[in-house]
Amino acid sequence: MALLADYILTHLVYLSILVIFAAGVVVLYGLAGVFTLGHQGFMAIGAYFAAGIACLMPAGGSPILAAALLVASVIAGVGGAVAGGLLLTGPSVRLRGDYMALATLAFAEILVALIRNTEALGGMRGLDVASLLPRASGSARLPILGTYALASVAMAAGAVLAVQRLGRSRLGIALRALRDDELAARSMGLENRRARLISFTMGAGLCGLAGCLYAHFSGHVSPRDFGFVQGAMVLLYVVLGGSTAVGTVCAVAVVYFLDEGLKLRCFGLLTGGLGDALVNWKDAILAGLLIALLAWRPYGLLTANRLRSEP
Amino acid sequence: MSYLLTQLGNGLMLGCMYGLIAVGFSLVYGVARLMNFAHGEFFMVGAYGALFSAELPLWRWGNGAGATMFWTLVISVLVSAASGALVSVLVERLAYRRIRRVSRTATFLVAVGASILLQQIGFKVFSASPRGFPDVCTPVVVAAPTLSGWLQPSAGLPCEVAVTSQLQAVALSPSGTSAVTFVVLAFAVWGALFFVLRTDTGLAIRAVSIDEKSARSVGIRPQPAIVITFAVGGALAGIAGFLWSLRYGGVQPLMGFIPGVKAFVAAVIGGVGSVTGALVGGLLLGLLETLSFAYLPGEVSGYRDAVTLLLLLVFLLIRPLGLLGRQFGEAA
Amino acid sequence: MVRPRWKALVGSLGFFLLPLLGAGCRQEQQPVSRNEGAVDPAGSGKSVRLGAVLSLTGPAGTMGGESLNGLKLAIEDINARGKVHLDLRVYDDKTDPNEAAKLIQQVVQVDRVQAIVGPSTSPNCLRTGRLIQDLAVPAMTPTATNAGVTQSGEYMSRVCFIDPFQGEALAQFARKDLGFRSAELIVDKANDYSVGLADSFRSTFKKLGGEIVGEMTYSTGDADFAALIAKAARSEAQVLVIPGWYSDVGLMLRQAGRKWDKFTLLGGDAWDSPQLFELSGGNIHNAYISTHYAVDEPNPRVQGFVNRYIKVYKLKPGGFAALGYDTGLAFEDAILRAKSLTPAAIKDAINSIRGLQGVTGEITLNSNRDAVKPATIVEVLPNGYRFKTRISG
Repeated sequence: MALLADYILTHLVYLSILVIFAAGVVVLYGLAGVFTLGHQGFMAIGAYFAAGIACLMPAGGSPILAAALLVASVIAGVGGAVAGGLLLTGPSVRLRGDYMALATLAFAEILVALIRNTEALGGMRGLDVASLLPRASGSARLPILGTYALASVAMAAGAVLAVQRLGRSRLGIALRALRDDELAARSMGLENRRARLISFTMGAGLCGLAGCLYAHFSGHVSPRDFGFVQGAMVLLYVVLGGSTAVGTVCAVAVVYFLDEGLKLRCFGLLTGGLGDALVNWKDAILAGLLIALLAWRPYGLLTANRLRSEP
Repeated sequence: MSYLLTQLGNGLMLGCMYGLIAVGFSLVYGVARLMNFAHGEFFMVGAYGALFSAELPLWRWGNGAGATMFWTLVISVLVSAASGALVSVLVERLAYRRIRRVSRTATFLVAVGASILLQQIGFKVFSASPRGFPDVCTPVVVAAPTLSGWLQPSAGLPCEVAVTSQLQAVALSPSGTSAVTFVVLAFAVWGALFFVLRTDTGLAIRAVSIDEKSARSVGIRPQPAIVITFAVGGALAGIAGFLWSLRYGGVQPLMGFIPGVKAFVAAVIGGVGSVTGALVGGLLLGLLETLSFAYLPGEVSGYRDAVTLLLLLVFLLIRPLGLLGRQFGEAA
Repeated sequence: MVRPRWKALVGSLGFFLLPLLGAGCRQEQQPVSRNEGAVDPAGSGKSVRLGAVLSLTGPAGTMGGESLNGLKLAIEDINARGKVHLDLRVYDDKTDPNEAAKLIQQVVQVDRVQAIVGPSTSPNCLRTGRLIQDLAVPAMTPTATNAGVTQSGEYMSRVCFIDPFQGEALAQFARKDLGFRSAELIVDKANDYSVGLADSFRSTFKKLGGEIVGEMTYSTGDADFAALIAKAARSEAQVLVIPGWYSDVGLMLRQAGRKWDKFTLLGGDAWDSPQLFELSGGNIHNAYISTHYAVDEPNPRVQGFVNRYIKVYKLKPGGFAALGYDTGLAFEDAILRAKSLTPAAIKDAINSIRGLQGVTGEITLNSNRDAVKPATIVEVLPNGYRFKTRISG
């Protein structure tokens, strides 16, 4: 039973981090209409800044120092990601569609390439993040894990609510208007630059926050964690979620369900040869299922509205 | 001086291969406005097709070692082109056709999904371990082939090693391999350019890339044009896959990912939608990579990837159409 | 977009919970008694569930694949002997550190194993070390040689020697046995193993009076080595030291053709794979590697293992196969001495392995839980290995 709880809590933390990351992308893509392929770059910035600050921790330092460094690392991570986002605001106004996607992708890949070649950042091998939080080991493992799970779920819920409120606010409506038809929106007096600035700040910030949490919880960061495929997966969640925060959470849940279901042989229902085939071919089957899902509901699992225009 | 020439040669060959993959990518984008992220996987499928055809003992006929080698190469080129084209058309039919008109983002995600799907299928069917491409240009060491031995790499040293006598006399040096590569590359590039610039089908394809509606109004049906473009692009990628594995050796399911990305960058730099642009972009990229590795000191040479991407970013910001690209009505 | 979709949210909670509960269902399928490792009432001895998380595919695929072959052979022998019964679950981490971390978690919490074999590669072990320590299940790696692997804590141990020693042995061989004064290093900077081994070679070689005239880097998985080969061909060194994995080195050697004929080549134990020959097309001259044993060693225990392996698998065993076999023996030894069959007790028993006679030599785990064994230097020929010398620590 303890092992099962362990398993659940660990997955809860990682899922929450994923939701926070996806919330950032909802702001960038869903609200502001930026076809972003580089959001994993923001997460990487958050993670590496957090890791860097954490490594300032001397061995056996006091808990107060640890707490201070923790706060500092989160601020640094989010701040760095926001700075990266601001960097992209300028170009994003001038580029459209596919070119925007390429530019963001280039941004993220340049970051990763730079990290890969910088020994001080651990290169391809990555950095171990010094534990600022108490380590979940030994007899205290479950309670500590439980606390982490609670905290991260709370943060994820907060992120989702915040993005939802943004979507319903004046700013959110303005963003969507600008996204759908810039000319018309501007003729109504809406200003592109300011809206973009805010959305990039918030979107990149959320991605950076997810990165910080990931660095601290998993204890290791490497360029492999922030690859193009991971970024595309999050975009998939947002698209399947109909570009809304709540929808994205549902999409994450559905994909997680499919992934784990296949891994656990359809929840123990299919045994023997067919079950084994499911496990071995899990990744291929999952990719096929996701393609089918997209073809079936390209505007989002919960959106039947075909009139909705896409960014 | 000879060092410079050697590295120039390396760079050109690498560049040509990137260019060949980029051409297919560029053509498809021009015709269908679709960034085909699965293009690298057509490259991979072509390489495996050539691998299997080269391993088939059928071609080891006793007509003389030279003839055997020649036919093996010819068959490998044809098989790699055919397998690349086949997979390409399949992906277009099954994955892209319906979603393309619906949503750009969804199409992109489907492309990524298709790429992953092909890689995963490759993992399962071919095994993820790298395979050596049988050196068709040097004496071949072959243990008795079985079907499973064919599909999966050998899991250990065979206890006895047999050398087939008919190829023993023939040993082409690596420069021979390079010569072969150059010849095939030249043919493929010439073929691609000829097809696009001089044939009627090529003209139709170019018409559809410029303006689909106008092309339709003069009676050109876009869908067959798109299918042909996918086929041609896939074939070129497949040939590039064969050449790559002939020259560099390793064949494994993920081999298409990085060359795919590099070709992608090359296509954008050269101008997406332009065939000559793709070739030029590929050459530039290959030369840049090789020469920067050759002449930069060890610690810095690793940054060449970052430099390549920075180049891409700069191009996107300053000249998104690339070097030779044309206005498609929705650039920056 | 504007209306709340609370129903959907509640529904998605179900999607989240089902897999987690499903994991629980899967656990129920395992009989609980096995986990406590009671003495099997059928009288076939102590029964333990082992989880193997190995790199069966990917750039280090034969490391896991061969060691699994050796391990399975050992388990056959052990189960036949009857005093210990090992139940093996095998998972493939595809040489990916993140996959290894996920699998370790799964194998401990869903399969509820009492001990782990693996991970295979140094990067994977370094990545999962902290996790293994936190999960408190003993793990023994058959093949990872980087020094940092066992530093994560007392739950991590290994059957092989460590890279600081291996690098020293290689440097000694190059400097003293072969008499070389200048060397060029070609390092895989994406790989902890390669970097660590290169570091230790470099420092020992310099200490013995040799000179490192240059260094070049590549990354795991690179395919095009043309530029690197041309650059290295210009080097003034007498020996090229390439402490990388066979999958990259094989391609490098194939592409090098005759350009590197003037050099002697030195490699580490990760060259020791049958795939090296396939990938390089047999294009290997003048090369020596340090590895864990020599297949032509006249020792009866070695020859017994080799013949048995050939009979079962029809292939010659490389160093990793021998290590896999010895890992099985190590588990048998530990379980026989363990006070109970909880993971903690097994861990203590493993850490006190002394004087176990294995195929790769005598295995004694020191206070860092590393095995102190000599390095075997073999010459690499186009179709196999030939024993050259042995260097002890």
